[in-house]
Amino acid sequence: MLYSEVRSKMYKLLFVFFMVISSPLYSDKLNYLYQKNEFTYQCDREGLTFSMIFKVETRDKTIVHSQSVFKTIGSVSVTDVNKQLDIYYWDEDNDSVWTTNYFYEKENPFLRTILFNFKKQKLVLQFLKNDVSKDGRLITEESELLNCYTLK
Amino acid sequence: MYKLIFVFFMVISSPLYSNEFTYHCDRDDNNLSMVFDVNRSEKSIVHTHSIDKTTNSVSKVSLPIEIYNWDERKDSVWTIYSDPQSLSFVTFLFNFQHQRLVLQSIFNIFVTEEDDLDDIVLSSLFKCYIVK
Repeated sequence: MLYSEVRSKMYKLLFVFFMVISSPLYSDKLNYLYQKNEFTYQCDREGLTFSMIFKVETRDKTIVHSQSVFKTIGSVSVTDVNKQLDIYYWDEDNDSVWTTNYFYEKENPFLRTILFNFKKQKLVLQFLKNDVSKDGRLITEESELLNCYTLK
Repeated sequence: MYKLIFVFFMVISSPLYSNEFTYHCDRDDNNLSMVFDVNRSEKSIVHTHSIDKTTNSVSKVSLPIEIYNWDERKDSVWTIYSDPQSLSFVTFLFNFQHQRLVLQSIFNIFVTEEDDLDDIVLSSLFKCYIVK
């Protein structure tokens, strides 16, 4: 008699346990634990002389530029940056992100725009400085296209 | 006395001292002009017209531009604008002091593995003048 009561309670407990873990809230938590939606995005300049490393969090929609790597023949130097980028637009349809950061320096303030295209594994880097000379020469603008890969 | 008052009003009503003015910019190749209404007090810029010089056609735009940074020290303004339809991101740098405008666009269009940067990024320099 006692044994059958215990068994019945066990089944009830098991039932409740399965109800809980199959609930959307809990499965969301499980998803979060096992798929944190975090990845490292590394982008290399052609010729591999320069790389940028980013920590991307798709759930919180944040990107941190964590390191820059400068490579010359015979030496590699890694600079810690740890700068959070200002997200301008997170384009989920095209798996892309536009970021803008304004750097206010004494003589030459500049705006840096970065386009991350995670689907095509590309990054476009663009600088616009405010030192337009009177003769109108465009010596202020720089753009680069970098090839990237994702590390989960 | 009246002459002094007259001169005073002439000075404060000149475009350089005005808080509201029209900023007219011609691209270096003279094929395109853009016209903006600038209001320094409200810190607003509206792109009012585009003029295609090859066909002499005027398009009315009336598009307020999102201000990113109004740099009073350098008398310059940075604006940004994104167009999800054309997958483009446009940056304007207005330099009122040097009467220049720089336009930069990035297009989020990657067709092949060997995309050329010139197809993705466009940049133009405009010479500008102020009209009241």
